[in-house]
Amino acid sequence: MADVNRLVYFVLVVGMAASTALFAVGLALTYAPGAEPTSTVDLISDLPGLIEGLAEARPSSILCFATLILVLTPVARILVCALVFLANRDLRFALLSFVVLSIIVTSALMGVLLGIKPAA
Amino acid sequence: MAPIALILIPMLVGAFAGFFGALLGFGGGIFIVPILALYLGLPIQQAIAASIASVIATSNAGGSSYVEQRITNVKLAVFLEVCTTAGAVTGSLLALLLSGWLLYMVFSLLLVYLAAAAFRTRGLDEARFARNAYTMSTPRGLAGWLDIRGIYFDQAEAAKVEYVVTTAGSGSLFSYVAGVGSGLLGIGGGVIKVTAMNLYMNVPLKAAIGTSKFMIGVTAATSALLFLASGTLDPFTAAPICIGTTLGATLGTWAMNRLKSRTLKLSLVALMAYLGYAMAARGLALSVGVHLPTLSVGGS
Repeated sequence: MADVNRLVYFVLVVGMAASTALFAVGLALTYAPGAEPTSTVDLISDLPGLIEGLAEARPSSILCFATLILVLTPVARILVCALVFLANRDLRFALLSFVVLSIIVTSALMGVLLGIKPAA
Repeated sequence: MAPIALILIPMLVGAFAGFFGALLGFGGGIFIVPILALYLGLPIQQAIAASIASVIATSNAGGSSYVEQRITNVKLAVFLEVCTTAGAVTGSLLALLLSGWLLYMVFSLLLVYLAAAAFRTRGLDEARFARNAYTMSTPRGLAGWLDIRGIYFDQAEAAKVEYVVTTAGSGSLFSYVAGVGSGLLGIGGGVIKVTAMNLYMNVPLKAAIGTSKFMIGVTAATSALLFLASGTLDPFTAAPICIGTTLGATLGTWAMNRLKSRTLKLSLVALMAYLGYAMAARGLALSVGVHLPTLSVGGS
């Protein structure tokens, strides 16, 4: 039987380490002596620009990618929970995990499509 | 401001919020938003977006450490996340219909009530340890069907703690309300969930803190995706804060399991009392224009 704690721990640590390392690299490149001033990249409307920026090691693209990894880590760990519970035939908790995942994905997609910003 | 200050100050703010957030199971936005807005001059929307990103960073760092120590109860988290995310969606819809000042007053009363309840039960964990109540309780109804159990090593007590989750109904109701608060007012609701799990669901305080820390990233992820898509979440601002909260939360998780439950609970009482006061102040400012001194700016 797969250990849900071990797999969830792995996802969280990889997400945390990758985003923190990329944040550090992005900041170092941004404020390095002689670095050119940069602007942020809009991820949703300019995904090809982000990929191109990553290939060129542009600080703004690295920082955007780090933010995306950070934000998607909790979503990935719910997916992992759902799959592990399913593999372990623990159908109650697999179902609950999929419900959480569907609420998040639906809310995020609706928000993006309708251009909704969270309340401040 | 010099580049080094642009990195170091947000990093220190993040480290402070991450440390206390990991100790008590909350996000830390209550500290981060006003400091970024008031002292670093960021627009309020950008400060809130950066704070949401830092909540995810602290949840990834704190959650991973608590999962490794088995203090987080993953099954309990998944069950309560259904209630919290459903509550957050409800809250977002209700925000379109209800007046802000009334909501702040209602949540202020709820927090003051929970702070008082937590203060009255400040020796609850020690009493339950003494009579083995965490292990011997019998789950009924929904909790019986879910059959959630947990075991972790408490370093302050130098003992293994076993527990069984009871009365899932009231815990899920409080988590739903915490989610509504998140959707309506932008508060994460971590302290509400910690208190509800400990008081009503037979979950030891440290397991409640570890489980809440793990959960808050999920609630924040939806908002963060929307902020990112709309361009409000500026990675240049978020990066140093997230590095700081990750370091602070890692240190906080190390400290939490070494502290006595009573110390953690009294700190939680103080935090909830302040949050209740800050929300009442915000409600009064919106309703009758009276401004009481608080750290908060724009939201709570």
